[in-house]
Amino acid sequence: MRSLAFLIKFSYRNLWRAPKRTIIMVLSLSLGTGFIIWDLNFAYSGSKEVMKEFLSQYAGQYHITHPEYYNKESRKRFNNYKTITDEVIEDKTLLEKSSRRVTAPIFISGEKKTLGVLLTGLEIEKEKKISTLYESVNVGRFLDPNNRKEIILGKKLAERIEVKMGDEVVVIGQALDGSVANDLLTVVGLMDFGGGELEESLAFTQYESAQELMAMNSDTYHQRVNFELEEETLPQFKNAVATRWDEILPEIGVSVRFIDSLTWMVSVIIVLVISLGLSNTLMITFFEREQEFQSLNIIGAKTSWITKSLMIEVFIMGTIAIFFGAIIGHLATIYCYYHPINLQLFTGGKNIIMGGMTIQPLVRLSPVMSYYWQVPLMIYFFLSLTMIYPLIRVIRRSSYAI
Amino acid sequence: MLNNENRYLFKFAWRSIQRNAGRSFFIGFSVSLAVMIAVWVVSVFDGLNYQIEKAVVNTNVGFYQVQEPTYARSTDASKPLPYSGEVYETIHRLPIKSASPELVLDGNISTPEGAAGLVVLGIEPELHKKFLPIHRKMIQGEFLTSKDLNSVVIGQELANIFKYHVGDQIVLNYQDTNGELRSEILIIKGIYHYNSKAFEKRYVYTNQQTWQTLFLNQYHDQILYNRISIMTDGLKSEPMFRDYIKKTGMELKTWKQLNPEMAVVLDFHDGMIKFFFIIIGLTITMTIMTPVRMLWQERYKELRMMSILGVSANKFWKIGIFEVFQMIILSSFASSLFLIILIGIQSHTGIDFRSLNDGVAIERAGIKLPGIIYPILSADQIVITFTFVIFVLSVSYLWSIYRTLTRLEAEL
Amino acid sequence: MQFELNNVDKVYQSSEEIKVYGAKNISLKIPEGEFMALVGPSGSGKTTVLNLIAGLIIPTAGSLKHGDQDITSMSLEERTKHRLDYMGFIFQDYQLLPILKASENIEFPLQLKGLSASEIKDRVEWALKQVGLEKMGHRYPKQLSGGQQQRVSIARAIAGKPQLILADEPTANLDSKTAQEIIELFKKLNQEFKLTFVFSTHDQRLIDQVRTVLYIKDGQITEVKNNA
Repeated sequence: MRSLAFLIKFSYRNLWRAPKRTIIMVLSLSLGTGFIIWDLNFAYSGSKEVMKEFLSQYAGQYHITHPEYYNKESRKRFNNYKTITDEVIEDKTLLEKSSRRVTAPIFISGEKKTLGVLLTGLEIEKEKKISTLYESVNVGRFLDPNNRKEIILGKKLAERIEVKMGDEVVVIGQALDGSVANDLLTVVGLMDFGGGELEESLAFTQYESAQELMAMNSDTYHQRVNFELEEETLPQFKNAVATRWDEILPEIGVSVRFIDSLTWMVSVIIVLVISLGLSNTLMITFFEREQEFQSLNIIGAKTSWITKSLMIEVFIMGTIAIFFGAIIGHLATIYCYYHPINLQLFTGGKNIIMGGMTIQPLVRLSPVMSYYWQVPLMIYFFLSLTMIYPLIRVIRRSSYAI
Repeated sequence: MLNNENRYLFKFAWRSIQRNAGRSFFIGFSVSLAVMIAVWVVSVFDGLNYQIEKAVVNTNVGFYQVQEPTYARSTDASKPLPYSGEVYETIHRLPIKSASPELVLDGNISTPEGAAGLVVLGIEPELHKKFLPIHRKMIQGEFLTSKDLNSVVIGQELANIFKYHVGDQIVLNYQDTNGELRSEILIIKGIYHYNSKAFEKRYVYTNQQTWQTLFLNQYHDQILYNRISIMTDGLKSEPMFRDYIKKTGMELKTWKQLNPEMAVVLDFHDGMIKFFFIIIGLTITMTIMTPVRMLWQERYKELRMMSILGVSANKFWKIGIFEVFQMIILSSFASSLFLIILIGIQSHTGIDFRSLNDGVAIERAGIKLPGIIYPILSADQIVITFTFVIFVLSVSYLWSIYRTLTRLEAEL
Repeated sequence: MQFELNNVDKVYQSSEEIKVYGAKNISLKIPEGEFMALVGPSGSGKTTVLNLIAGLIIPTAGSLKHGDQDITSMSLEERTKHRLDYMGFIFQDYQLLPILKASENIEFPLQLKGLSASEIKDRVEWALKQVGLEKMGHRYPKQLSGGQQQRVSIARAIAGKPQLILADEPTANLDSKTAQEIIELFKKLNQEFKLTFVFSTHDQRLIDQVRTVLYIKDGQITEVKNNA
């Protein structure tokens, strides 16, 4: 134990024999580590924030529906004849946290054009509490829960069918009893999704108006949309099913995972680049001491002892650097929590559109605990690789005559 | 160019590099490798962006669209313009590959299987064949001719959903130019399989005669257009296009204006890459500085001796600059060579990124992005490589020389 | 136990035809308590002979023994351990570790041997006392003069109570007064503790003080002189 203590002392002292050089190595490794931790936090919490913001506008975290509502092969298709009631939801606390919706694929006609859109009936008061959809209405107003037969349209949709505020539009679809559903609704508001394609494919009305259009009973609906997912596991039901957003919008989920993977790839590249520089420095440092190693060998220090001391030296340096790097990364992350990053920096000021709607570009970062051990592990791994060539040279040349 | 003295100093610099051949090689190799990795990432993103762009323009958007004013304002197809010889000449004076005049009708079908909104494109088949290769992607039946009447070509996804086959009738619902709601029967002449499922579900093709009869209630015996979709090599000539088209009174839109979501994806990639480059540049400069500095520190005694013999600081700088120059040449060529070989191979084999997404292809805005990316090697990247290497090595070497000479001056 | 070289050759072969003898037919015995110098011009083979005795290089022919241990048949690691266990070394340029204090430099080989803390402490104190640096143990090499550094080097060599101490030009970098002091120290250690010394040296003052002088030329022992 004492000889190990001596070895560690020896290695630690060697680290500081050229303090400036060691500080530069530690600094470059710390900054690299700090940047990687910050970058990973940015990618993860950035994605999470963006997703939360995106999902809170319309899609929600998960939908409770009839088991056959969504097509199992492609959740872009749905069977509008499959409805549910509150009876299928055993956990009544879920009712408070979610909003009912009626979906009605319809054709909407203005003066000159008819387009196919998805009309969604909303529980107005509930939606205002749990989603941010109403914030997208920037012309006119959101739906009035006390009124009926109102409609809000995407701005682009209104332009295409050439309707404006106060105009009436004809909506035609197929009711659940097989009859032709049609109604006249008044445009009370227009939504701005930043020019995304949802602006020409969505329309909203009151929940009751949609039920009436679809000839549905007052207690039936198509979806219960939840905007909070407290735990990662979805609730289970006997006669209903919960479908998470990434199953309904897999392309968005995949994009997010792609960004995460890409960020890890970038991190590995940065560590590799740092390792190249460190390897250079270590090699030169070890070369400088070649004569000393030879003397040690003459005195009786085995090559294995010498290599052990060098490995401990690099390990100590790595640990110091990782420690400071973690602090730097963490502080930078916390700073970016209080001073959110504007993603428009990456797009030259242009709006960021995802899933057909503009998302709010300010991203608050939060630390992800698992990165604080995964990144150090990766750094240690690359440090070990950095040492290989210099150590091989040391092993070959450490035994030498007087 | 080099006088006798400079030639001597140049040789001296080269011998200095050779003297520490192993370490000089390692430094140069590290810089080359780091730069190569950074530029390789750029080439991968260039390839990705190129493929995204290709995927978007191939959804019948084209790189550019020249739109007649009414359609440009509100996608109102009721006032199409004739695709006259003059229009043809105007368009073809620009550096384009192909152009397809198109009429655009929003319609829908409604069957027991469900309902779907469609975009019915009225095309001139012979011109459209040069624009998109849909005629080669027919899996059932045939593509259109200009003489067909009431025939359409639909996508495989639409056919699957509604269980259509060649020869079947579809009932198209739409509003005509007078605003009247119409339902017309069309015969499926062919089924294509092209691009994404979203594209196949939405786009239906018919010829000009059929389209004009449906929407305008008569065939005008000439090619009309709401928009002219144009294929080019890219958007490089956008300013020229804009100047030209402005004079005609029509409106020019690029694919980025027509699909802003994907345009932002490309901008985001570009922004990320620039950021990444800066980080890599700073990282490699910082980490290479120390070994370069050590190389010069080791020579301190002999520099001191040379200084005593009468070699001036100016000459030391020259030696240093010559050394940097030689290292830059070696590293830049090494990087460029690695890059050319690596990207040369990968531009043929591609890189499969599907493993990053659990094997699922990325889809955005209805466009399926490629799972296999083909990096693009361009002259720009070689310039970037050289610039990067010059920056890293110059900063490291010149700083080290400065520090060493400062110390020398202080001591003597 | 004495060290013995028997008919040792060390050949450096630069090509098929050209053989260079670093040492040729060297036979010598180093009994316990010997105070010996290897003397010869530069390139004569003194360093080769020293390396052979230390087991740093293996003879091309002949044998090197320590008691009944055949050093020539040992592996690299075994020879390193053998040096640690039985030998001490004094270098021309001291070769102290700049990151360790004087006492820690002396402690170094004792740590490698795995001695207990108390024994290490005792031996370090003893060694410092022998070289007259009892109060200097806390200083780093850069804080010591050349003579003091060489004393520390000597203390490091003797602390392990070796059976043989090899010294390569130990007085070469010292001024004459300091060199003389060091030589006196060697003598004292040899006489008082019967430590065996083998020097490689040009220093006539040292040559005059040793018991046995071996003159080496072209890798061969040309003369053995005993200073009575």
